Amino acid sequence: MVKSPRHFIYFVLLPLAAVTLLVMPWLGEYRPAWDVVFKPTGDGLDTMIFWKIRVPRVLLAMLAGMGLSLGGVVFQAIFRNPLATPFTLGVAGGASLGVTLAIFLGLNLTILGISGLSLAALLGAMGSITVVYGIARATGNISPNTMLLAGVAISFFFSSLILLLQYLGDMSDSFRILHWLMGDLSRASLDTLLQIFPFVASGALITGFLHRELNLLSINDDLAASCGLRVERMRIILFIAVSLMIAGIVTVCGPIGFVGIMAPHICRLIVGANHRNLVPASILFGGVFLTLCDTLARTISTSAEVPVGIITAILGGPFFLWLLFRKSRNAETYR
Amino acid sequence: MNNTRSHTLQRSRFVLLAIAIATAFFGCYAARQWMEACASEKPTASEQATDYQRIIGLSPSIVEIIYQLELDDKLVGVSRFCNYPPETKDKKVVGGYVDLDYEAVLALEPDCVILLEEQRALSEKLGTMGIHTISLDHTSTQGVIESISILGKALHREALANHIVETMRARVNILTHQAGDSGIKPRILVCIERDTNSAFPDRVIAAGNKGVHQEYINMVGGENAYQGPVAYPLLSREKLIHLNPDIIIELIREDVWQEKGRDTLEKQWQAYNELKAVKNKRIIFLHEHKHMIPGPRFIDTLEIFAQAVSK
Repeated sequence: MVKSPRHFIYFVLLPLAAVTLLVMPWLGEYRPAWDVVFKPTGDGLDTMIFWKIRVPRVLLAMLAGMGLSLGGVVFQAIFRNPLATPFTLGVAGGASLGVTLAIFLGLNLTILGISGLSLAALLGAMGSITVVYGIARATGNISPNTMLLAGVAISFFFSSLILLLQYLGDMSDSFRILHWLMGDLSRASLDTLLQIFPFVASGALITGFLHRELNLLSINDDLAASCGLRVERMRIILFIAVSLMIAGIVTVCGPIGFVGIMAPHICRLIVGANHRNLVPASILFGGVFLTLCDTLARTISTSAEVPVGIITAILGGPFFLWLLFRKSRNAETYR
Repeated sequence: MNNTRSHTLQRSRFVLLAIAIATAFFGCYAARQWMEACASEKPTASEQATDYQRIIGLSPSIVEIIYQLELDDKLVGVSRFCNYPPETKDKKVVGGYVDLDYEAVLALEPDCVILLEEQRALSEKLGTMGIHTISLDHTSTQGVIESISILGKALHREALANHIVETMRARVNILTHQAGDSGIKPRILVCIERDTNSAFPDRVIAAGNKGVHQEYINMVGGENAYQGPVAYPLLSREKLIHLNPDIIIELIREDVWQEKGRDTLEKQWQAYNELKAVKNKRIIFLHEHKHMIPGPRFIDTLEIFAQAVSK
């Protein structure tokens, strides 16, 4: 852990995020002229590629990475489990099932500016939240473990339903479902950015507002209650708020795994477990990480893009393990 | 007194949070509506001129038609699945079936992208970039034939397109009339995939009630041995015995065909000699590339189906 987490956030992560946002739109097979930055409304090819494809995509990757990472931080805190993420808790599974069902049934509608697929994902995620909460309530024990187990069970159940629909669907549907499940940021546009932004912003605002409560929840329910916190109510508020945020992201980007579990853990190793530091650090790290992964995904091959979820796992996994081993070796040295 | 003040402070912070969240949602929604209104004022791609000089084809069947219409000089980009005719390898690859490298597309400066109706999402996004698209239905033989006329008209090759369509219709008529109505419909199983490394036909995936194979079977006067609701059912040995097809038509990838050869593949089916098709040696292998694509060369496939039934 670094000596001053605040310094690490302000002098390492924040500048890194800024540099990422400024540099990544310039990377790619096609090289736009530098003066394109002054022509955001032009009609030329440079303007089209830089302003309508790359800038929205880099911003979308940053925003989605921030949201996914934040989701992981909050879920790991409220469930006090290092494996708790929107993916293990069925939220992403619910959204994926919604999309799979929409593709299978051929839903093609738009309500309040939200496409049928996005709406189906949102409804699926909300459905999974309701089911997980309903199961926990029905058992009469809304403890982190009950909710976590219910989430894992729901996640497996939804995965099976997705497989069933894939099996029943035709080749074209199965292919579209499979591709969607891999996670993809190529749908990025100003419109999709505006679609995701309120979800991520509200999740970040709520989490930032409740960072003290998160600290208490991550330690112990009794301690939190003795400090005047209404534990169950707070857990449900955070669970629903963050789940909706994740649902908003998944509707556009598909279920991009690994960021939500890895980014918070890496940041915890660097800045410690205090959510006052961990939340901003994870947000920035997650955003930078996904943006870098997506840039690699779209530039690694000239004929096709590699699904970004594959890159996040390939890059993030070894880095996370290296950090984990390094930490345990250092701990032994100081013993 | 202090407690009340702290509660009031807390409540006002919650209210501010709620206002901020509501503003974010409504603000973004209003911005999107405004953008949509602005976009609708601009002329859409479909309203623009249609003298196409640079076209991209996003499916193997579409690219085949473009070559048939002798428009290959105007074809600037293809999907990574397009490999026929062999000259397509010289064309720039711009993506796959559902994924597209939009930068690569724009860099080619196309004035038209031709794609399948199932690729609707790509078509919508290309439309927002001001690129005209033509969507074609290749889920049926009728759709394939009609798409030749559509492209012929759109790309100013009407005479050639009409000639190709007439020839195709004539061949289809001959094949379907040959089938006639003998009253007995042979039950055909179309195996589209299986584990060819196994000593017996393992993990057999058949063509179900959707797609072109069902249509081919009907056109040549046969009946699909599989009548269930699944598009591509996985069939166990027990299920195969239950279906007991009169004819098995198997699609084999060219590389597998070269590696295994007819004898090995036939020997594998012999392990299931309780099946009527195996017993009567009515197993037909389709290994050429043209049989894998529901494109303009489908008549060759249909011909083999017809021959299989007439034997």
